[in-house]
Amino acid sequence: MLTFNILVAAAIAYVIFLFLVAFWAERRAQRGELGWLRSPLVYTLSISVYCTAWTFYGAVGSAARNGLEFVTIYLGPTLVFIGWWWLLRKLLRIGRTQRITSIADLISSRYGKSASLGVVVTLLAVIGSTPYIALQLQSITTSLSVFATTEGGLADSNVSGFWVAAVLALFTILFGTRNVDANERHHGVVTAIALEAVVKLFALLAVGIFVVWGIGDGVAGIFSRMSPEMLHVDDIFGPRWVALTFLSATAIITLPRMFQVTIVENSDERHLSTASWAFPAYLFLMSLFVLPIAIAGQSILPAGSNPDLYVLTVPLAEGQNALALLAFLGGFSSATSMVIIATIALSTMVSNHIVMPLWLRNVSDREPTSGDVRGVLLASRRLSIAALLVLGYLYFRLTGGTGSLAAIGLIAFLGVAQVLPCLLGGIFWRGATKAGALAGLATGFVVWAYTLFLPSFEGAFILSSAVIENGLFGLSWLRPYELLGLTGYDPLVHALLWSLSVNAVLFVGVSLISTPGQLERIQGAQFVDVFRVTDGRASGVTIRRSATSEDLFTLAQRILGTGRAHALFTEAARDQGYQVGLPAATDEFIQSLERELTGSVGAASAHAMVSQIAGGGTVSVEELINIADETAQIMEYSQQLEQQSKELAETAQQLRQANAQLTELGAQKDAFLSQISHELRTPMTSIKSFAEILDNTADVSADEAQRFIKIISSESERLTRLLDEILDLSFLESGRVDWKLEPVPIDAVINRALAATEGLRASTGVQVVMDDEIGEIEVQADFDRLAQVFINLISNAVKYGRAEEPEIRISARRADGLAEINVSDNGPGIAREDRDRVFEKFSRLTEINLAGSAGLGLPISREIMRNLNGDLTVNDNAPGAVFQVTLPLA
Amino acid sequence: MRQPQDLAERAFRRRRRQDAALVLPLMGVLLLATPVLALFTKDIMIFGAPLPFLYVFTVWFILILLARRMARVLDRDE
Repeated sequence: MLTFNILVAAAIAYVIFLFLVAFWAERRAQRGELGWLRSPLVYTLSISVYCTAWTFYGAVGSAARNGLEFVTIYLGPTLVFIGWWWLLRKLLRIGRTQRITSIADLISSRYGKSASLGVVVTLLAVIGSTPYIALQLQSITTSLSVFATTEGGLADSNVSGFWVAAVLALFTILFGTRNVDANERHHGVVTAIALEAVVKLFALLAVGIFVVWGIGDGVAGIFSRMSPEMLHVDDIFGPRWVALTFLSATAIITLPRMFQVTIVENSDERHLSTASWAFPAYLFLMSLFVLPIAIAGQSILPAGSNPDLYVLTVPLAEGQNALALLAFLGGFSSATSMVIIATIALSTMVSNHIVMPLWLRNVSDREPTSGDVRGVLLASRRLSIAALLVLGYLYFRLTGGTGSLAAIGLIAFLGVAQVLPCLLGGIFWRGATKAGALAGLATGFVVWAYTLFLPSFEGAFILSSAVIENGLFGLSWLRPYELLGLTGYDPLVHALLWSLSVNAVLFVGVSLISTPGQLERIQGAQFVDVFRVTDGRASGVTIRRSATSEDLFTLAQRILGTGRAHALFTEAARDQGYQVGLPAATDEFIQSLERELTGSVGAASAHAMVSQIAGGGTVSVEELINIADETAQIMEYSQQLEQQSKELAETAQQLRQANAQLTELGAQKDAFLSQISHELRTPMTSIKSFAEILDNTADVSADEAQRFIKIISSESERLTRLLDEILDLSFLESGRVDWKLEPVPIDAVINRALAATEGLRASTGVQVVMDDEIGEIEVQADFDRLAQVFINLISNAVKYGRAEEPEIRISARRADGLAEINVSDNGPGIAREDRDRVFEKFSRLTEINLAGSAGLGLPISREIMRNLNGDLTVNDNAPGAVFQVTLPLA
Repeated sequence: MRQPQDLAERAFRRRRRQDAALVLPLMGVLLLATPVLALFTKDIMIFGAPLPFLYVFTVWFILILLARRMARVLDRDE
């Protein structure tokens, strides 16, 4: 028979075992041999501190009363964890870069390291968590009472409750306050919690398996015992379902103990990705057998049994004493792990945000750094832990036995959920301000207290039952459960709706109309853009101060302890290049020191202390802005902007160039077209007029007619030639020519050109002089095309090279693998300003038009040369005009 | 040496995988906390278990499997 004494002995043995495990883990951590103690598995198991006694016992009770509703408490966290990439990952990164110590520290740090916000969130957390701690004590004592057969002694729930609280306080103080730096993490505690997580899961699974296959003969068997109305099939889904899912999702983020294990105790960001599915899997297993256990309890236990204790009473009723003992230890684990983590988290908040600021204010009148800060911190944490447990115990004594377990849990959830708007706003919205956060939090808190928390005492605390029934001052629209006449909802949904909506609206509204301070803006940027900030230069504002290194060392020594401070300062000095002595009090160093201290006393206190040494916070706005400008954040922003604007400027420049070219081309085309039409019109006009004369005049003599027809014929020829040239040019300019290049002797080409121009030359009596070298040069070209170029050049020389004794000199030489052939005349030459124009279409340098050329000769020649991989240029070897042809040698 | 085009493509795909990480919780909300759930809260027994119970736990289980897969993919990207 499982006696009460055996049970107590088992509990004590279990606690001693936990002490040993925690002690062993601490020792390994000190020696730096953490190994698997720092693994994703341990991290995931420590998060399961979410599953408290409320879960262990209460979920079955909830299932017995409300059917499937209990799963909402696990679905919310599941949804948050599978969406880890968007919220938890960001919180974790912020927590690590800013060295956040608690949820209160997070909010305070985000809103300009505000001390007042830290106090508000801490108070909220304490008020919300005390009933929860009481709940755990209650669950342990009630589970003990199941086994109690005698009255008095430990069987009295008040006595056992006291001893449980005392042992928990001892454990938490021993392993939770070994050092003051929350960032050093509590390896002993976390390991013990992970072990407890295994115990509670194992216990619940064991009971569940026993129920399904021991009592119910399998799945179908156990469900066949279910009473038809148990599932409440028709109203499973409704406002309450959504509200509970939402609340539990919020709780996994905002509950102080969840923040502690998920964010503060995390030792490696990569562990989160494992926890993202492993923690939901843990919850899944924890809830899998809840409904079967509830069914079994209802079917085999006498009516009126407390469903919150089915986990224990079902195995007992079946005579499974070992299983009952295991179940008891599971429940015990759930309760103790919650209390331990919650008190650690809350004591950090209380000492950092309430005790430290008060103490600082007190000593600042005398001497800024007098007194042992480290000692004060440790003492305040230990006292806070004890005080919190006393508070929880008192709450348990005063309300003992009232209300079912789950109800108290949900009330606490909604209390801490008030942090949600300013938390989410703080990490996703840079415009959120401290004033907005304070307004939202304070009103949300008041509404929660009025509509849910105070009425839950049923008239025993502050609000009388008359007020709960009729509203404050008898005003019916102020009824706590029917605010503004909103009826038809369950009190929890009603309170959630009012408190969170008022909270969120005020938070956003006040944020929009208030102006954040400089520090708030900087912190806001650091939080919202945490993934953009490069590591190392991440956080904080340094104020140009008159601090001396000695003062800073004294401060660090008092908070971090001599060893840590010494190591920190030595390292900093070495980084700055000093072999001995203290580091210079540079901005960077002060900033990193402040970060170190933040890990111990929270952002607001660290900032206050360092500022105190620095001679107070009287900093000009200008200086603050300068500092802000220096932060990595802003630098990165401006770099990105610079980069982007540079790219934009380049693109714009290219576009402008392209546009200019297009405009120019358009203008050239217009000019070309008008030239062409002009050139075409001249022959057309004469053709038309002579044709009209022939047509209209009756008595044209045969001679005259003959002459007119000749003119018409020659003008037609000119027209044809002109069109040929235009076609030729456009073909050449398109660059699509495909000529066969072959070695061509220059003299052969020139002789062909001279032969072709013989008639023209003879009429002017021009002399042609050729250099001897020409005979030896061969070039890579197309013979006919090259001849066309020389014909054009020679005819031009003949036409324009007017002199007393006209002479054309043709010379050639080799240069750098190229052949240079000059065709020069001894005429008046080309004026320097005209040289660029000779290659323009239709430009005739003089008005003389000898051979009816349309002025396309030179442009065509140059296009030919370019298509032959050479060029045609005009040189100024006065006196005459000199055209130079360059071509690759064969 | 990789072409920039390829790198841009990879960054884009990576970004898309991260966006997909948002789909999972949204899917969970849709299936478990909207009236979609009410479609399955019928008084029917399947394989000896009530339909609402089976539905909730099956969806939950699938979400966990998908989350595990997603976590591995995102880890590889890191």
